[in-house]
Amino acid sequence: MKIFHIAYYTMIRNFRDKKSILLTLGLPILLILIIGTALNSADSPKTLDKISVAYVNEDKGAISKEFDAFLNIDDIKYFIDVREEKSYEDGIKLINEKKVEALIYIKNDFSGSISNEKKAVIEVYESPLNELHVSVVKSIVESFINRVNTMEVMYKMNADLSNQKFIQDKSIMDMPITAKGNIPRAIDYYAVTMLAVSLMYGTLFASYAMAEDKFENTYIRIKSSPTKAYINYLGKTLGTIATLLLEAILLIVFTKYAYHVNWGSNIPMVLFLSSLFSVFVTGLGIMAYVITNDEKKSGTFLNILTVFLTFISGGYVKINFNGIIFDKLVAFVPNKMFQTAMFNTIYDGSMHQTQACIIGLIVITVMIFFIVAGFGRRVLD
Amino acid sequence: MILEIKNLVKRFNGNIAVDNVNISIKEGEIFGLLGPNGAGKTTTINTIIGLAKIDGGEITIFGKNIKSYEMEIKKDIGIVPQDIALYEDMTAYENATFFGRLYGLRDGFLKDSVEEALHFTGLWDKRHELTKRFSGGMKRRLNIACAIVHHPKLIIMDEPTVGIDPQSRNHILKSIRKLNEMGSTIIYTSHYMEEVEELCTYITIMDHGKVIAKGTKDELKGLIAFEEKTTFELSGMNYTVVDHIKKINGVKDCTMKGKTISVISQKNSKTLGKIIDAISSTDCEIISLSIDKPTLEGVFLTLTGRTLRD
Ligand SMILES: Nc1ncnc2c1ncn2[C@@H]1O[C@H](COP(=O)(O)OP(=O)(O)OP(=O)(O)O)[C@@H](O)[C@H]1O
Ligand SMILES: [Mg+2]
Repeated sequence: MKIFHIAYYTMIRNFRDKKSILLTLGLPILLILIIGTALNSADSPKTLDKISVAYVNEDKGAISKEFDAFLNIDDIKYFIDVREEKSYEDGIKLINEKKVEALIYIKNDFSGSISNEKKAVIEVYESPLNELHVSVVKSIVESFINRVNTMEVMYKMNADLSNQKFIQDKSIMDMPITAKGNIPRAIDYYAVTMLAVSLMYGTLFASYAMAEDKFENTYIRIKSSPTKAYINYLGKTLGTIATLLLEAILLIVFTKYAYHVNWGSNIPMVLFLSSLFSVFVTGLGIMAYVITNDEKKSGTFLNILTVFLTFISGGYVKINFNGIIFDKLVAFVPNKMFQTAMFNTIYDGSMHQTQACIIGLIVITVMIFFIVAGFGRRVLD
Repeated sequence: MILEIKNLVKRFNGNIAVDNVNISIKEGEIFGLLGPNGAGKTTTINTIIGLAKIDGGEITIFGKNIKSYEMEIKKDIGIVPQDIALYEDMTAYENATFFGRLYGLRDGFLKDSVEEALHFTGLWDKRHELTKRFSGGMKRRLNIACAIVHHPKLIIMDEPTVGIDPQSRNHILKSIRKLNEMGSTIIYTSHYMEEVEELCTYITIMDHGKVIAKGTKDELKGLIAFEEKTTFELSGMNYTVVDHIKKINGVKDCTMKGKTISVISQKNSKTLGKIIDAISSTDCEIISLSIDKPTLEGVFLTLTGRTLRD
């Protein structure tokens, strides 16, 4: 098929572009080493300490009682050190004083809401101290909520619930982060964020692939050949995606063996996430080009965007935004979704969060390609 | 007719680039499209291969309308663009393979055809070198190789010899003749009239978007050439010989300047022998002699009042 032929040569040519390969692959690999080793000793514990958590339960209904019990299971206690407090304000105060790392808060209408089939949440407030610890707390809470939801469904189906006490149920331990000995060192963290950066710079490959023939004379040859324009562009798109995926694999393999970076045991998932992000990145690069219809402009825009998105999703330095709204927004940043999904995959974290990120990335990518199709008619002929 | 262009009109933002052009090209011809910069040669070619939308007229290639049979027609055309159209970061072999594949060739046949094209253009030994390291002449040759991998019936060459050394140029001109002998029809544009004169079997001259003359070399020259000018350089001066020459049938004028005699005779009047006899009968010897034949340059000059390279 001509498409694969075009894709193949697009990829070959990308890898011959030494400057771009240095920017997209060499630099991130270097940065992983520099930032990773510089921060490693100072920043990361080698084993997971018990996480201190404040717990406020204003509800005292049936379901929140179950949660009380849940927190008292030995396996949960292995991870967290729960400190019960009277009020929400007390809990927040502890966070601000850095005495605890997170606050689990159940409002007084919690059980009532569930019985009335309204939305009910167990809220987790986090301190900016330790992202990983907070994510452990979140997954513990999430695993509980999953159990409740399952039971709700079973209850509605009139199932016999008499034996469904999670207190005795060991299977919950499948869900939260099994962090024993699996703590990311700084280098592990930066390997993932730098992978995201590396792939984000791939937008430039995409933008260039679309633009090049227009400014080179090769346009005449391609246009006068019996190959439809869309075949040419699809081939280039595929070639760009393949380039990025191959770069990701090189980065992963290199850092795994040279720096002993932990990429976890679920390699297929790591590769799937990298592919998905590569498709997103390629779409983004093409979109920037078809909207601006100018390779220079789109290049500048993509450079700035890459740096900005990397920064706010904590790619260069771990940052915590105290504004909750902003935090929520950042959760929708594609880099962040990719990183979150990767961390959850590598450290056996929340399957739910991973799924949400995957869906988020797919939705954004599909939207981007729709935009490309719309603008593309005008620019790519 | 392998290609027929009828009343072609092409405008760029209101400016007319091709103005009611009619061209017919027979199978087996080396068709020359001659004209100065900006005459509209490239624009005409671009409309043939469907690169530019036309504002009027009709183009029929291989007896088919380009609009309805675009892909079919394109398969049998090879284009050598005026500006070198290659991927600089690919080797000669890869470029030829890439474009050959775009024309639908594959597998063993693609391989063989690429090899053939590279041998043909004398680049086989350099096939694994990156194009960006090629000299201008080698790039020009590869530019041709990429156009002939798929054995096109019609090869369109837009100034394929611009800016190269005489050796590469000769190589290219030779290969064009060979391609023609092997059965391809050639369209060759240039503003070097010597090249067109040497190579082409039929010539169309364009200027300001219009066809201003067409025909075989001789037909075109016939347009302007009613006279021939012959110049003799003699060993001495002899004024009586001028009178003798003037009396020869067919001679219109004869002048002497120092030891040089210029004779203007009617075209094809076969006066040369008689003039030489007249000179020999004096005590002067002929040191050299030159005959000014009409050239396409002269044709263009006569038709437009300008030279081709203005
Ligand atoms: N894309 C374009 N936009 C606007 N004007 C154009 C375009 N292409 C060609 N022209 C104009 O059309 C006219 C014919 O140009 P064309 O390139 O066909 O000439 P040419 O005979 O090939 O000249 P050359 O020997 O320099 O290659 C010129 O006046 C040129 O400025
Ligand atoms: Mg031209």
